[in-house]
Amino acid sequence: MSNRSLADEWLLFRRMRYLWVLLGAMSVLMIFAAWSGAERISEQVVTVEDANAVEQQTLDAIKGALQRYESEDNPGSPPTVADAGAVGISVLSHYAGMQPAPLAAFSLGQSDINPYYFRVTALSRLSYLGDFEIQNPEILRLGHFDIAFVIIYLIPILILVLSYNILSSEKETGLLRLALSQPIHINAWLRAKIIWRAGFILGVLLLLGLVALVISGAPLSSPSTWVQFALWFTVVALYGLFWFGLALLVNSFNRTSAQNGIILSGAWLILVILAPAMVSLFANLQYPAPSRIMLAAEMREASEEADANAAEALESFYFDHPEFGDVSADAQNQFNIQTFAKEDAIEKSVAPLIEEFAEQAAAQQNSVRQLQYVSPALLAQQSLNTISGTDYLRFTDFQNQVDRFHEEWSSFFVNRAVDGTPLTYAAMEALPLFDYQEPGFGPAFRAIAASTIGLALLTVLIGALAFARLRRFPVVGD
Amino acid sequence: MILVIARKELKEMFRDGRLFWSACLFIVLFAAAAISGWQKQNALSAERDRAQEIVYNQWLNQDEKNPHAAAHYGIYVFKDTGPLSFFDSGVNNYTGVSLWLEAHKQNRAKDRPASDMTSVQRFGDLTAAFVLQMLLPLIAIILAFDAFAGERERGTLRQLVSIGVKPSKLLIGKGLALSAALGLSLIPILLLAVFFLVSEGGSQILPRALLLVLVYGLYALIFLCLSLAVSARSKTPQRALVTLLAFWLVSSFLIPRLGTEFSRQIHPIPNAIAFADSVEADMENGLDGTSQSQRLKELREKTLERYQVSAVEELPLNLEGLSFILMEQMGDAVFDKHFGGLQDSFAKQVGVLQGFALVSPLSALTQVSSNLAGTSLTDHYHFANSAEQFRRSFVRTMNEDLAYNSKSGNTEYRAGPELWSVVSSFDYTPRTVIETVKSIGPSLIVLMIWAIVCLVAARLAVRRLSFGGGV
Repeated sequence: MSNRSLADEWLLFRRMRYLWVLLGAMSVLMIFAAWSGAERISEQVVTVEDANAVEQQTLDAIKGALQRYESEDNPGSPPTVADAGAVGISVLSHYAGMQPAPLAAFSLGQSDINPYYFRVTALSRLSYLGDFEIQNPEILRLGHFDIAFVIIYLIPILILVLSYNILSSEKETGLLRLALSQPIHINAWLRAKIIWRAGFILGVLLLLGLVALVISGAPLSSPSTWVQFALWFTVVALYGLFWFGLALLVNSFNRTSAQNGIILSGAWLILVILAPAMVSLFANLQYPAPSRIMLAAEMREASEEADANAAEALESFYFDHPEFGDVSADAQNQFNIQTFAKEDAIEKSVAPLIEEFAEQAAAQQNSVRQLQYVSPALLAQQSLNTISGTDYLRFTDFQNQVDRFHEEWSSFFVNRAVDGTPLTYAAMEALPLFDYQEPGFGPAFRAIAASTIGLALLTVLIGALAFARLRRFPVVGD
Repeated sequence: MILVIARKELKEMFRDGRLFWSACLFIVLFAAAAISGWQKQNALSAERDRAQEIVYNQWLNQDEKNPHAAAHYGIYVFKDTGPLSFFDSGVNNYTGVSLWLEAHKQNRAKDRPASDMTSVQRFGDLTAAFVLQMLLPLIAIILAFDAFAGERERGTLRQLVSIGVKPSKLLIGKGLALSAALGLSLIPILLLAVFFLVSEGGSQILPRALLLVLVYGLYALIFLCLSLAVSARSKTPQRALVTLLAFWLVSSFLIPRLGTEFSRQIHPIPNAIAFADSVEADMENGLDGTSQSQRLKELREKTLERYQVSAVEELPLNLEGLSFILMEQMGDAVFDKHFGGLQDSFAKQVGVLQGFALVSPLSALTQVSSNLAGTSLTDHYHFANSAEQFRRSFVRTMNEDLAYNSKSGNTEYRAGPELWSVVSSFDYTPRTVIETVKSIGPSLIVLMIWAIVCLVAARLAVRRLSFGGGV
């Protein structure tokens, strides 16, 4: 295709006033989404920082009291904060917070449903498992307004507006006949036309993505930010190309512009709205989570039993902790030990059920991974969430980190409480704090690769089908 | 004449496949959503009843203990999602289902189904209501966009009017045919209503189901009239289609999401840590500036004075019990302030969302629909607040027993099964239909305004019908 007709295309483009209005609107929405997403992510970071600052004050107060007590010449009875059991159960807690990934603001995903911090105490992990942030359920239901929403829902519409009649309008106005009377094949002509349009839109998206990156406050000097941005743009580009391909395919059926419009809007509704909702329904039916209601009832039952069999619970506790078996503890210690023994008994009895929750969640996630290929929107959502670290993978990794940390934290207090060792300043200096570790990129990369390759295959398939059909496109007549 | 037009229109819609394919898609999705929703709801409801019974038996069979210890032991209540939740799940996935009622504390409902779902859920919950909300407008647009613009383009509009067909009759005829076609999609809900009447005999459900039919009918009417109006004013069918689709996409998908951002910015809510801290601070310091310990000291002095004794052991009652009652009263005021404040903020946020109904009929419809199905945020808090009233009453029963059936200093006092059985099982009564309808008044009015405006627009659009030769 000659440069001449590209110049003509550009002229045509400039004249499409609605296109510029749409592009302007899309840019404003995207920038607004970047700003609001960044705000929500930084809100989470600040919340954990504030909570950590408050608990640091408590910790300092405890340390101060211990230091004063230890520096006295003839100390009286130890301060209450020397009681490891009491401090671990009700005085001191530690908010273990998750660090957002560099591109978190681009796709908020499950970041409003999954906890971004857990309050760890010396009690069992059941005490923090059910935590969740205060959120308006109505807003949760409607979903975020983030960059991922603009990409997944709105960009296809922009693309379809631009290309639903790419061939049909030329045919309706008789220009197709004119254009193809020149020595050029329809595929070459169309390819140039669509590549030009796609290139233009993708260029705009790349530019907007870069602006969003700056607005979102992602660390621009870190190479991982740029790796993830590159992945982000790959997904966005493939997703956009899919919709161009679909428009071309529908056009190849040689129907009127209005009919193309109907078919494409129906396709949008099915691929972006209905198919993902079907997948969600199916995954839930196939691997339903166990009943949370029954979990509550069973925890209660277990607690009852632990009370009734207090002696037995203690014995089993000592069985797990033989190092404490022969310690003679005073009344307060006995109470602490009983509390921990009861916690232990409850946790043990509901452990299989808790395990089942995790298993079903993993199975559901797996099922979604297999079914995601039915919808490009779903493929895009899954990969965008994974790139932004607002998905299942990063969350379960965080949860595992917190569980490991909880073991460390609670045994710090439980061990001392059980053998009656009081807390000392030196011991509190060595108290472990939560140190979030960025997860390895391997599992996330595999998940992103699977979705992205799926998206690429769908796009290539649709595109190839469209061009194959176009080879036999009747330029004249029906 | 009108009937002739209507019959011709219907025949045409059947012939060109538009009606056939949209009806097929609609029926398959609606059936899948309704059946799976129905099964899920039945399973949940049975589970809930079972758990509620287990937990109540645990309460009844607990050991003899100090009544206040029993108040600490507490009771679990579980949310019943209601018989229509299968039709519209509303906010059910995002609100907790279990609520622990205990002494001294108002808890938040825990265990949201959303926590056990994957991120795909965010595309929406495939319920019967969702299918209607998503498909009705699109079907209306697809069937009606070329009603006038198509005839104009083909030149038949000029012919029709030249043989004396009044444009208003044309409008009514076409409107009737389209209403009949769209009305078919409301039949499934009607059937469901009948099904309920037969299977459950639910007197509460029938009016709700009928109202739902009316409301969804109104929603379909809005898009139908709008499509006819736009079709009558558009030069080509293609332009009518693009205009209508643009309105549908912006009003159904863009505005509601954008609305959530505005409502969050306008009415911010505290995070869980800040919320817990402010509750705790008010509990300690008291709402009126008098601290809890000060108030307890005053109670002690007043009680001693009232019974003219000098030591608490000489009182004919247990001061501890009275103190617990006072602490609960102070706590209740604090909870009313904070939980009430939170619910108010949520309600204001929903108010902002409803304000967007002026540009997005779907925003009004989702509110009306989930309220009628008993699955709205208002219904959730109606449940949570009833449970809270139940908590206050049973904790008070325990504390009063301690106060008046034992004496100060008597640490041996134990209550048993007779006292436990005084507390009846929590029996939740949902809002009545009238209460529900009252609460959705504004949204209903907005929907009606939309319908009237679109009707008038359609009527005005055909009054100045141009017969232009298309292209």
